[in-house]
Amino acid sequence: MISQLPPSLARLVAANPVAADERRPRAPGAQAALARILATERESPRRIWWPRRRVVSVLIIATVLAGCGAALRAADPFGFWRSAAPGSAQYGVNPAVHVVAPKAGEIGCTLSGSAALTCQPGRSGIRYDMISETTTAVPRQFTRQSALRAIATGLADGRVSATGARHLRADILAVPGSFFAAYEELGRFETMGAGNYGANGKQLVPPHGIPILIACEQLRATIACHNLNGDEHAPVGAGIYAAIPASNWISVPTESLRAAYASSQRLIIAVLGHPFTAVELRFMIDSARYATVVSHSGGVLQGHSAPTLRRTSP
Amino acid sequence: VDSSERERAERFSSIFEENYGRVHAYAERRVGRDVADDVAAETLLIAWRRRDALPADPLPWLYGIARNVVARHHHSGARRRALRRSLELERQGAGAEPADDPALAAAWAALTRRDREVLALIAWEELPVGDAAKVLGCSAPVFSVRLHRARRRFEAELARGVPTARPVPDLTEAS
Repeated sequence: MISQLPPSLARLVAANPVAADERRPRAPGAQAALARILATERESPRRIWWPRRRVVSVLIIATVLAGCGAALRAADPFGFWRSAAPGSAQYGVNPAVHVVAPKAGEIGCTLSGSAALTCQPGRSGIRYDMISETTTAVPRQFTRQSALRAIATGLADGRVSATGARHLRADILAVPGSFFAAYEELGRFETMGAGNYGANGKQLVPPHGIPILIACEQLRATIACHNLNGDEHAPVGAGIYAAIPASNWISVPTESLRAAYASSQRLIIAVLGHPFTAVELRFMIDSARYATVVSHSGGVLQGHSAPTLRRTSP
Repeated sequence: VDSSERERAERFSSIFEENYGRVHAYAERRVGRDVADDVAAETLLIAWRRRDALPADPLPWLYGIARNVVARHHHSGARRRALRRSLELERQGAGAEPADDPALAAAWAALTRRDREVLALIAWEELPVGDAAKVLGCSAPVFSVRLHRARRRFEAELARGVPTARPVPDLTEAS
């Protein structure tokens, strides 16, 4: 077909920036997606409440890969918790601390410390624009009882199948009680990328020292921001701002999937003290199969009273 | 019933195996690698939910679904803003641009998204005109007209040359 194309299109064919990768369907991430898809009930898009799909799938992939490699154990449990990839940030949300996000969509910032920035709308400096807010992915007090109740409710209103409920109940009864607190803790953590992808596996990132993603809160007259990457206790409700590409940005290779998996695996070990056991792994896989949450925003905080607005961390 | 469902699951797994890479590449060219994982998975999930409607040759149908999923991502809250930036980069030539050919990238960046979609379906998705028309939901003759116009504009941009800020490589061999 290519030989029949006019020269301009043939030239375009030769310059294809992303060729289809035949191995991709067999990658762990794709296989996990296929497992989730096949487990999906037809015409039943609403599912039982459960923690965020992305977190669950990343953890499963990390766990599957961990079976092939040596277990790592961090001496300082969260000392590693900072993305080494310059185009993304890893952070944990502290559900006990709530702040107000700035209203400004675009802000200009100056660095006022190693990780702190002072920002104002319309100001010159490093430019950022808001892309999201920090939210809690998992409700507090996720216990064996609350999980069983959620399944019973889901079964009663048709959001989970009888098969799914049977599998989930068995998993919930099999995992140790300490696992629920660990699962809740795992749900605090998130990895966010800022995009800016170019061709050939490259990505544009700001020069060294300028954070690509920052978390900001509105104070009385100013906007206080800090580097989101490595923040283990980011407050709920903070505005997440991404740096706007500028002429001094540099092109770097995008983070490899293996590096991302290794990071997730370190998190699992830091929280649990060990890689997932067989029953814990089954719980994770069945959670992804039968309890995937569809909406990232709706229903996640159901059953929780509105949080008190306060700032407790120094 | 179980046996029939199992057969469907096996058939779908085989369709997944054959097409996931292509759907992922389609998405990655339009929304970047991170979002492409979500778009490809959501596309195949929708296909699974509509498995009774799966055509014998599912690829154009899957591209059509992926196109709608990408459009939804373009219109969703925070992701829209992140995408807007990536699209701005694309217009500047730093996004999903034709690789290793600055002159081509400049001409590409000057086209409308609609022209790019028409050209990409032929050049990058490597679809015949009839299948590309199915993706866009139009007839093959209508698609041919769109392709002809898009190609004419693309060639005009190529003839116009590259911006002065860009290096001008010798493209004799490449073309």
